Amino acid sequence: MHGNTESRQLLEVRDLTVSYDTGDRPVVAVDQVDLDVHAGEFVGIVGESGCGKSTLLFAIAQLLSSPAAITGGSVTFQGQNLVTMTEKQLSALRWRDFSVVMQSAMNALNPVTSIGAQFHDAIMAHDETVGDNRPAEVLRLVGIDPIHLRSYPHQLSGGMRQRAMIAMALLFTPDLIIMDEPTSALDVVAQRSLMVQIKELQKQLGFAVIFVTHDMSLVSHFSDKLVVMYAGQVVEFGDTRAVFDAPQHPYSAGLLDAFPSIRGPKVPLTGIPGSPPNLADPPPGCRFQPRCPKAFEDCPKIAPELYNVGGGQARCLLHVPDLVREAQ
Amino acid sequence: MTTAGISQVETESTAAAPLLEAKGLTRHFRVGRGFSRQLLHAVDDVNFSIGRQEIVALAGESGSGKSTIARLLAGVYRPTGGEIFYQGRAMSTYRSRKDQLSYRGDVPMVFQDPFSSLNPAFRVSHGVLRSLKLHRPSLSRAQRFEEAERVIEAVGLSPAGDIMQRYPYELSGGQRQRIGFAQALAHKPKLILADEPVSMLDVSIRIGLLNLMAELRSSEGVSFLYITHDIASARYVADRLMIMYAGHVVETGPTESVLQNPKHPYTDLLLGAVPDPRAPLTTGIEGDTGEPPKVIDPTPGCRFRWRCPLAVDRCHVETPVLRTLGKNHQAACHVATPDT
Repeated sequence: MHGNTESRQLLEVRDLTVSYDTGDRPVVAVDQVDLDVHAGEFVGIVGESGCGKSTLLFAIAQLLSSPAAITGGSVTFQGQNLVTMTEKQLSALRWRDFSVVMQSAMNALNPVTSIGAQFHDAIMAHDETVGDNRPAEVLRLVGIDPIHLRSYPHQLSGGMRQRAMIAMALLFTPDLIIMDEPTSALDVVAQRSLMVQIKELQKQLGFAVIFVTHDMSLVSHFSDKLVVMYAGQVVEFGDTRAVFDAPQHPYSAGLLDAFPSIRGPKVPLTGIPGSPPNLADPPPGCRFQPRCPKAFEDCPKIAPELYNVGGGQARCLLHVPDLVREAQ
Repeated sequence: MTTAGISQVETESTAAAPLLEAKGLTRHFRVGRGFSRQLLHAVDDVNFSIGRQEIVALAGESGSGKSTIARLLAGVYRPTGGEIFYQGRAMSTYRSRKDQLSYRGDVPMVFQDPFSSLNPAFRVSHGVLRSLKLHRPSLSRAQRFEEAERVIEAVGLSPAGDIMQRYPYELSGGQRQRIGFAQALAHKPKLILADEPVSMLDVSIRIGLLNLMAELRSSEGVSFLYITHDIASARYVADRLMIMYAGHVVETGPTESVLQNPKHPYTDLLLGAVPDPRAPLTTGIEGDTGEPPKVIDPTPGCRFRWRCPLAVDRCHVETPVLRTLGKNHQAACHVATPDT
């Protein structure tokens, strides 16, 4: 893990802000998010529905469409700012340097053309030089018999379709693959086998992964870094193991306590009371404060920033450095 | 003396009789187009019982037939074969509307998707009051409102009067699912069929609903059939666990016994695949890609044999049946060994 931090910086997201224009008042779905991804790193982004995690991915990949738009910040990929690029410049990078695996492969593949034809489309659009054998090669990489190039999506099982999507993302061996809940429609066994496979491929080919999921336990054994989002903001960031062992933000701690375990003693769990806030009208101060078991009188008054705690960061007033606290 | 003895035996037998019992429950669906005679065996020869105030979890991957069982019990599908006994009486003998109504009032269902299971055009009170009017016609209008407020408070929503006046869109997913439970509770049910009641909810609020099920079991005295693909949540609430694979129940027993000492290789595989941040990563199941079979016109033999690491010749010719391998613990496997 330490080696990773010294390796090449691949993606640098700074102050990225995305708003949905809803007429009277814009809804800020992603609020000044910073994110660093190094070459070959596996970064997990977790949070509940509506916390802005998918919007963040779309913003990084420049796939947002109206009414959502990036209203601030930068996305620097391999030294170039993606936000200011034209569609044509982006098209040269997409698939070849970074690719996206969408949620629910059931809908992401075209139902009326064969898998092979869809691979061919991507090759024609982005880089014809990879050769005719490439689709068969990448399918073999993900453990699908290349005979399925002639199959249509409906002839494949859910797990195979998801694998085919990942194979497509690998066509030009990109440096970064962005995955939006690729396993959410799968059973635990299929989910587990897909995670192991992604990790194997990553080891073999050396790409970096940004993996978005609502299931925190899923990435626990696979990601190097973990980003926890709540109400459009990053509330905790750190090494995955460290976040699981000692969560610094009460929200991450609450999320961890929301999963019953199948091993060890059976303990009563409480989950997190209440529900996520409406982003059009976020609560004052800390956004988690109305649901927080550790909230104190300053929480509704002061909006916390990300403070350094241990090796990571947490957006919680409990971790205000002493100097700042005295100044206030 | 003799008559007293007989009545004694009778009361004992009714007390011991399970609330609901399924015997040889089978449901096939015709698949394919035109004159195809292909049959999909969604549920095949399933036997189980649910006791009073018991939470039974039915777990399995999608396509294993667990939702079909819920629909059979709810009377949405008629069984192709076998029989469901409710309080000792066979469901196929329900002829009158009154019988069917009273069964439906006793065994309501809570659906998976709280976003589409409430009518968006009506206030929350609508569904609760309607089922009260239908299933408990003796109540007056004022009593119905009182009862509706009671069940809405029982599921942890307050103030009930305010919640009842809202429309579904004004509620969060977790609140809507609680309304689903309130609707089911309104007619004093004996058994609630909960088909994946928490899978559409955010992780931070799932636990709240699982706790609610356990609370309602003790406060309202209802039993639950909790259908889920999440074994960890089944462990959290259920007394008994049934594991389904390809239309068969492959293992059943007290939850802890099944989880700590799984007998069927499929249960083993399933447990190994559950992500658990508190435990180290289990290894040894990587080769399995988790493809569930489609059970169309099956030949005899264990349905798990293609994925099973322990399969022997016998598994290909003879369908295993549930046999007792531990205390109240059964598995359908030729290879599994009993407790010593």
